[in-house]
Amino acid sequence: MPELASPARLTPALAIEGLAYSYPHAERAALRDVSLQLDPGELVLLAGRSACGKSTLLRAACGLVPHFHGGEISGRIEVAGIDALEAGPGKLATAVGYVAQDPETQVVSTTVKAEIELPLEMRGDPPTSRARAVEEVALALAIPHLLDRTVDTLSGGELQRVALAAALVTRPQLVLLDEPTSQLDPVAGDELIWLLRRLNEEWGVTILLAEHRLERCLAAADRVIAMDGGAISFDGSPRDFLAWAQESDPALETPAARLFSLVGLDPLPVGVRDARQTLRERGLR
Amino acid sequence: MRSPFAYMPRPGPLQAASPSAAVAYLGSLVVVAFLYSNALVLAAAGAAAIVVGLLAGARRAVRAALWMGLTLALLIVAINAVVVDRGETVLARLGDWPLLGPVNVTAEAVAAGAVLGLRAAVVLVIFAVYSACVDPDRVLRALRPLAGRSALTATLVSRLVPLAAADGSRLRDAARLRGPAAAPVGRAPLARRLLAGSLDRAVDVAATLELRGYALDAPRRSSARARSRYDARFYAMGALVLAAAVAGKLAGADAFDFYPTLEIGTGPGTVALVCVLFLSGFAPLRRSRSATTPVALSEASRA
Repeated sequence: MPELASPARLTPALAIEGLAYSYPHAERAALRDVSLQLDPGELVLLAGRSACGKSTLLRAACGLVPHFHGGEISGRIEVAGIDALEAGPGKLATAVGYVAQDPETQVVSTTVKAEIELPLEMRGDPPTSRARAVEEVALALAIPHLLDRTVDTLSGGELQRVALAAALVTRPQLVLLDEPTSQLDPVAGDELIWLLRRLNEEWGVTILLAEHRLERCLAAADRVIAMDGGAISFDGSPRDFLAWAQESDPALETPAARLFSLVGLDPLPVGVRDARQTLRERGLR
Repeated sequence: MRSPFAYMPRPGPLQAASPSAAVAYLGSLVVVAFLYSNALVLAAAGAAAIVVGLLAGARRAVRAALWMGLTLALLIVAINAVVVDRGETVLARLGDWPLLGPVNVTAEAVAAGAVLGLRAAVVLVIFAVYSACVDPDRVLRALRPLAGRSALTATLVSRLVPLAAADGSRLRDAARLRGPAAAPVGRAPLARRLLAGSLDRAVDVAATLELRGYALDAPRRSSARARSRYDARFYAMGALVLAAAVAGKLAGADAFDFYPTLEIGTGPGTVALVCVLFLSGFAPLRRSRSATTPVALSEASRA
């Protein structure tokens, strides 16, 4: 007999409808008529040039916009069935985790253990279950050795993993990441992306990841959403995104895709494995 | 390099005490510093703060605060000596200055500036001891019932100093790395940049705190961890200092006049208050190192 899906699984992790938003005293809107839906378990890459509205969209999805930043907003945002415009970031914290660009602004405690434990403590979890959850997330992110360190002794990559652990420790349905690799070296950045993919597959957590260095993330993504001027300009698979970027927004093309299109190779590669396979098929490797 | 003002877990009664107890005691010294103008009383409060800091192991914080306090005090003395010309004992006549007119430096104005500077230095030392010895994580948790709806307030209270300390260290490094040919970066622009940057980052940290559920109406568990066996000592010492300060004020222990001539009150009330203040600085003293260290250590680690 087939297993019945629970109501929570049927609820979209994020549903946005007709969202428009302007920061206080801003002359133009940061978001314009944004509508999208993220299903549970998806890993979605949010692409776009600087100031196109990626960060604002993420902030709206976790309730910081408008509850923390102010401004004018219209439309509808639901995170795991919770109305984000009514609930605010505190209530949404039970369903959504957020990791920002600068790992240092995401640290509120002195030690790593206290930092990861904080969201559980705020939720009122008993100490035993807090300790278990901290250990589980530390193991998943390969940071058990950092637990007793103070946060000011960590490197940028370690700090980013700690911030991710603090965002994941409550097992939220949705995790939002705003350019989490921007301050990491290429190796640490790649490691973080594939760690996210693994968590996405193993824990079933939905991930919305805003990134500039798309070549790093395309292969890990199920879907790509591109933004331009505060509106969604593309929503589809990574391979379709490459074809679209080539036609409509060459600035978003990955270096490998640009190279392939220059020499007339098809299909455009989503990742290294993809590129290698195409080259092999063409007898070029 | 770690800032001298950054909190460092150490096995001491002040670190083991709950934030409210530590704040009650250190706050009582701040109250004295603002309530009194008598130089002897201010010096006693400063001495108490220094002794507290040294006994709590915050030697670097005390030394840095003293250095900053001394610089600030000298600046205040210089400004007060130039802008205030009250007092009968003229030390120097500096002639006519633009905007200020005739400038006479009087001994009384210098003394008044010195008292203001001393007050600023005492408050700086107290805050340095607070910052280096009171765990900001525990302050954050202690503030939750009071400022549960304002993550920004909680962040500013508990994280601004650590953030400013980290930023300051980075800004100093960046200034050094500009090379010998670059124009030197003055302290004032550095301090301005530091304050602006720290406030910006405190707002970001406050946003993170909101996202961690700080404003949630979660059940607040009263835990033994929040209390310490040293709490009573610091509460009692804070109450004693406050009571002595109020009683001293009523009994005229604050007698200290700058103008027209300098008069320092050294009556029995003042002397008694000075003794109470200075002795209160020994509050973090442990009875016997060997007998209490394991307990203090475990309390500090639990904290």
